[in-house]
Amino acid sequence: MSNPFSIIDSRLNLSRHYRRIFERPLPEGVTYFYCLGGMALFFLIVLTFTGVVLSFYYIPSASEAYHSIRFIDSKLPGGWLMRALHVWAASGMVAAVMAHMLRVYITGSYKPPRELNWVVGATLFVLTMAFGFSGYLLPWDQKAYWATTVGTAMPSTIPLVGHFIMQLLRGGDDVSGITLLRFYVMHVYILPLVSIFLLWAHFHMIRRQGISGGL
Amino acid sequence: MDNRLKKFYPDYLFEILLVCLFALEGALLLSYVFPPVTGSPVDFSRNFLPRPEWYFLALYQMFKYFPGNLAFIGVAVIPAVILFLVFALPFLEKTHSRRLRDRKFSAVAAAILLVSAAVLTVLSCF
Amino acid sequence: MEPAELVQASGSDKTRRDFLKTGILAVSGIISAAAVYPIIRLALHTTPPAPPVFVDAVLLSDMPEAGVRRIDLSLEKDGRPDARVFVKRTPDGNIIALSAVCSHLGCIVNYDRIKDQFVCPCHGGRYDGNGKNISGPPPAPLTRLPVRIAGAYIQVGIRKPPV
Repeated sequence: MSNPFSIIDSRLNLSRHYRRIFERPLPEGVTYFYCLGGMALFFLIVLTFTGVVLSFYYIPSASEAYHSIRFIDSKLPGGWLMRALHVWAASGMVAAVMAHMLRVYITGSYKPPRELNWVVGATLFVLTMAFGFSGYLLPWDQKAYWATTVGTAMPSTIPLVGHFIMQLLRGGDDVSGITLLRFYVMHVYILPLVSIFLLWAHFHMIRRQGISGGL
Repeated sequence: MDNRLKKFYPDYLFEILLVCLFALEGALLLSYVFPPVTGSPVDFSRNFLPRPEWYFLALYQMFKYFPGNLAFIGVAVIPAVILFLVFALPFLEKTHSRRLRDRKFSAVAAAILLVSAAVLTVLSCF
Repeated sequence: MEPAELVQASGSDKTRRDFLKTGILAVSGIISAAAVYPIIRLALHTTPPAPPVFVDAVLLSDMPEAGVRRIDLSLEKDGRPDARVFVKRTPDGNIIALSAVCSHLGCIVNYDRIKDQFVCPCHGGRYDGNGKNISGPPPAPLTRLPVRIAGAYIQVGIRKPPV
């Protein structure tokens, strides 16, 4: 009982709880293709770490955003690498999520009783795309500005509600500093909060229902 | 307990971490070889042909085929139908069999979706 | 309490419980509405467009009798352009200004001198010499901007971004 962990464990009974996950035998047919979801989670962890570091120096305002990105890239030690990793891990995460979905589709792992987990996973896929879309504007360079101008104008073609959706996204009629701030808040506060909740649900359901093995 | 069966720890976790290590190496390699390029600052008067990220290219390309008042079909209707089908997939398929050959209709639809997304993505590069 | 006693609970106790359950629903409803209402109101608020600011575009004497002049206008003294406009004289002698922002998705259009058309590079939308949409995806003509003559200058009114 001298080990600090066993002192905590004897009071909170942690190990028995976790042993059930760690030592549970897996069904047959769990191959490397079953690691794609874990890969997506790993990219999300990389994105969280690099994103937090970037947010120490990034300033989400129309006049400062571009200069703060330039500062991160050229002056901040290792800043360029954090930004490069953030960009590439984002692409990697989208690719991993798509591959994971394809694997789940092919092995039919969404079949009862796992229907709800498929729905949660599909929502997480949409959130991942929303992360990518909102993050694209943040450098506030020509590419970012015009891509977001076009991207946020697309919903305006929907009859009746389109113009309203565009204004909701932009916070006005044009892409401006208000839009930049909205996208920043989406990217840094709202999407991560919702994603963490859904990821908890995703993993909790896997824990309760077990992994669906090979065919 | 059957010793041939894998356990999450250590068998599966080792595989996952190995895949994660390769993923990290890949991201690092790409970061060093192709770091992101920051363009020129926003210029409201200068033309710039915007291109979205690769995973939006298919949507962007499809949009070009619906001119004028029909644009919302490419922007909203088709993506909404596809999203609905994806979300409702477990409830739409009647069979409980997990094998692809027992859900041929769904498999063909999924293949068409994937191929058209790939074709649109390639087309958008020209 | 034994289950049997639960069933036997007096009538007043049961109505009290029911009242509390309804109360919990009502109170949490009021608190949620009070929290959600301002969030939704602020999220739905859109900054109204600012009134146009008139900026010197071109000397009246530099304006050709025919043809289109492309001008980048700047609101600030730093000379960084805020809008691109096309200024031209109509056949009846009036001067008009067209915003270069495509009505389709907001790209910047170019002027094709040979065809006397405005062409959008993003999706190939075309406008005639007066800014009317004639082919491709644009749903509306190019925006006409207010023009006035102040001294020797033609001034064009453009809007300042809110932030």
